[in-house]
Amino acid sequence: MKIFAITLNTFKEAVRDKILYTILIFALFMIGGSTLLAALSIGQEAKIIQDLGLSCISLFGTLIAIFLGIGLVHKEIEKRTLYALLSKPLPRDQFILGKYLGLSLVLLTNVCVMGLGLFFLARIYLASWPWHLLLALAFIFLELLVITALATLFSSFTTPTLSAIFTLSIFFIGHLSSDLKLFAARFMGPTSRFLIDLLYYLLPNLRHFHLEASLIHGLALNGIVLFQTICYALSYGIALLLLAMVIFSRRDLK
Amino acid sequence: MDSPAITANDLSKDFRVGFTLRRKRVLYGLNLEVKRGEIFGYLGPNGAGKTTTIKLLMGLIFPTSGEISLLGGKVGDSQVKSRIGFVPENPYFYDHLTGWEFMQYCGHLLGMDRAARDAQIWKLLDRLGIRDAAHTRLRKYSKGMVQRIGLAQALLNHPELVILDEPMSGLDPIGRKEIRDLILSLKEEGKTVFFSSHILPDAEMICDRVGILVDGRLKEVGVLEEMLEAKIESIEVTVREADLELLARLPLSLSSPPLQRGGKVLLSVPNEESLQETLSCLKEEGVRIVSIVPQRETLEEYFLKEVSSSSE
Amino acid sequence: MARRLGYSDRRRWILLLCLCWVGAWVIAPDLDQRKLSRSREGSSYLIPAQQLRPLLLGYDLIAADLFWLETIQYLGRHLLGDQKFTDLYPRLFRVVSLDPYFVDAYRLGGIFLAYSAGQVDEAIRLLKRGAAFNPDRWEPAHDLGILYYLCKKDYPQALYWLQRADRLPGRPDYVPRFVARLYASTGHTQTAIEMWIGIYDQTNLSWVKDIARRELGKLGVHLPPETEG
Repeated sequence: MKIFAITLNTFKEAVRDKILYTILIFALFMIGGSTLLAALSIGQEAKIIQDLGLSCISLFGTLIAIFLGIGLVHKEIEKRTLYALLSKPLPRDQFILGKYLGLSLVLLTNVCVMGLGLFFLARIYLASWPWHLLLALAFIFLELLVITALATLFSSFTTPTLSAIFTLSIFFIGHLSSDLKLFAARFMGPTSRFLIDLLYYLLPNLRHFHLEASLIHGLALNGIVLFQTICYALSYGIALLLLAMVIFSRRDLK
Repeated sequence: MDSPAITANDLSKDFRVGFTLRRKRVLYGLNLEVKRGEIFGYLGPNGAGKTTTIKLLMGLIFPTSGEISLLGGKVGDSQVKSRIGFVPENPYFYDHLTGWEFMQYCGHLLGMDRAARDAQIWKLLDRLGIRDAAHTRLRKYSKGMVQRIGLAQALLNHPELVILDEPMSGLDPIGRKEIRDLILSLKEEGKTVFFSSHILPDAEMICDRVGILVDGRLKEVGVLEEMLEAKIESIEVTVREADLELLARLPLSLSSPPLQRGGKVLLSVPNEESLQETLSCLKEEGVRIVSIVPQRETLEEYFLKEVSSSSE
Repeated sequence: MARRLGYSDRRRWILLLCLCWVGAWVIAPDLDQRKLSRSREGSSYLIPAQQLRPLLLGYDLIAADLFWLETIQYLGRHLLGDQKFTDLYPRLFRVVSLDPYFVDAYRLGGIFLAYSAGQVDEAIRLLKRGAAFNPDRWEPAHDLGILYYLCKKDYPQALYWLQRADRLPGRPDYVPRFVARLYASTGHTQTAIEMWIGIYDQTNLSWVKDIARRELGKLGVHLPPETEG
C-alpha cells in the first residue's frame, strides 16, 4: 500500500539522521549513569534507576518526537521533494498519515532500544524481572504518539521554528493542565474558570500517561482507567491527525 | 475525439503577501488550450507566473477563480495523475536514497507491481543514460544526473502528458541538447509535452506552439512559424563578383547600403516584392547570387518586444 | 599572516593554554570552599513542592529522588557536624509531597527525625501522612506504633497503630505479639488473653508457644502442658 511506502521511506530517512543517534546515545548514557546517582541512596537504588530511566525515555522520546516531527512536512516542502511526490496519484492526506506512521515507527524503535537497556539494568537491582516497566513504557509510547501527532499537525502548516514553539508550549501546558484546573477552581472567577476549563479539555492532559508512580511502587492499577487512557490517546491523536490531513489538503504549496 | 491535454478557462490566482496579507494577483484570467500530441512551450521572463501556472496544473496550489482540466479530467483526480508525468524546476530528491531506491519508491506510489516496476526502471535508466549510477546515492549525483532521474520518475508510468518546469535550466549545451532530443522523442511516442522556459532558442527549436506569459497575462499563443512569419524584417541576398560601384548604379531598392564581406557583398532587401525586382536586376548584370536568407525576427527579439511593451 | 605561526609560536600558545588550565585548577577548589562556607541552608530557601510541581512537568518522581538524595547528604553533614537538623522535616516533607508513595522516605525520615534529631512530633506527622497515602502498606502504621510506644509512651495510640499494621499484608511476625502485650498493658485483659490463645494455637514454633504460655500465665491463664502427638 502506498502509505506504507511513505512510512518506510520516512523511517529510513529518520534513521539516517544524526540527531537521532546523538539523542539516543545520550539517553543510554543517562540511564547507565543513573547507577552512579543511585549509589548515593540508602537502599533505594532500584527505585532511582527506574525513575530516572523512565523519565529519560519519556523526555528524550519527546525531544526526538519534536525535533523530527517539526520538520516532517516542512523539510519535504523546502527541499521540494514533495512536488514530485504529489504529482503521483497519492492523496495528500495519505501522505501525512504515512509520514506520521513513519515517525511513530522511529519512536517505537527508540523506546524499545532505551527500554531494553533500562529493563536489563533494573533487573540487576531487583529480585525479579521488572515486567511492570513494560507497561510504563507502553504508556510513555502512547504519550509520544500524541506529541508526534501534535508536531505533525503544526508541521503541516507552519515553519519548523513555530512548530517547535507550539508543540513545546502544548507539552508544558499538557503537564500543567490538571494543576491549572485545580488552581482555577479554587482561586479564580467564573469567566477565568470557564476559559481554563476550555483549555483543559481542548489541550491534551499528558499527565494521564505517566503511570510510573503506580507501577514502580507496585500499586494496584485500575483496568478501567488504563482502558480509558488508551482510548483518550487514540481519540485525541486521531483528531489531531484528521485536522492535519484537512489543513494540508487545502493548503497552497508555494 | 480526445479532449485536449490541458484546458485552462479564465484561470486567476491571488497570493496573500506581506504582514498585512494583502492580495496580490499573479495570474490574470488565463485561457489556454494544449492539444494532444504537441510540444507546447510556455515562455516568459522570470516572475511572469510560469511556475505558478504549472503548480496550478499539478494541484500544488489552488486557483482563486477559473477552471482547469487535464486530459479531460479534474486536477487532483488520481486517475488523471496516473497518466501525467511531472518534473519540477531544479528538482531535488531524497539524498539518502540511491537512484534505484528512489525509482522504486516512485513506482510504489504509482501502484505498479514489482515486475512492471523493475523492468520499466531499468529501461528508463538506460534510456536516460544513468544506469551506471543506479546504486549511487542521489546526493552524489551531478545536476545533469538529477535532471535525468527527474525525467525518469516522470516517465515511469507511461504518461500521456508530460509537464516540465524549466527542464533545461542550469544544464550545459550538451545537456540541453539531450533534453531537447528527449522531448522530441516523447512527441514521437504520441505524448504531449508542456514545458516552461526562459531559454528561447531551445523553445524555438522544438516547439509546435508557444504561449508567451508576461506579468501574469498570456500575451500570445500560436504556432511559432506563424507568429514570426508575419515579422519578416528583411531578406539578405549574398552576391559574388560584384563591385560596389556597379551595385550602386543599379536600381535596387535596398533597406540599407550594401556590405562588403571578404569576396562577397550582402544586400538587404526590405520585402518579397523588392526581392523579385532585385533578383532579376542582378541576373541581368550577371552578378552571381550565392544565397537568399529571409531575416526573421527571432523569437528573442519578439519576446523582448512583448515584454517591454507590457511594461510601458 | 597564518604562515607566521611557526614552531616557537606554537609552543607559546600551548604554554599559555596550560597556564590557563592550571590557573583554573588552582582557583576552583578555593572557589568551592568559599561558596560552601557562604551557603545557607535555612528553610526559607526551600521552595515548597506545591510551587515546584508546575515546573517539573510531570517528572515529580525524579525530583523526589533527587531531593531525597539531597536530604541524605544534609543528614550526613549534620550528623557529623553540628547535630542540628532544623531543615530536616521540611526537606522530607518536600520529598514525600512529590512522591507520596515513597515509603522508604517516610520510614527512614521517621527514624532520623525521632532518633537523630529528637523531633518526635515531626516524625509522627510525617509517618501519619505516609499511613494516609499508603493505607495498604504496613510500614508507616508499624513505625507509628513503635514511635508512640518507645518515645511517647502513649500505649493506647501505640495499640491503635500496631493493630492497623497487624491487619496489613506482609507485616512482620512479631506484630501480633506486640499488639497482644499492648492490649494487656492498656487494661484490655480479655482481648489480650484471646489474642495469646490464638497465637499459641496458630504457631508451630516452640519458642513462640513458650512466649504465649508465659504471657498467658501473667494474665492468669494457665495452659495445660504440652503433650506429644
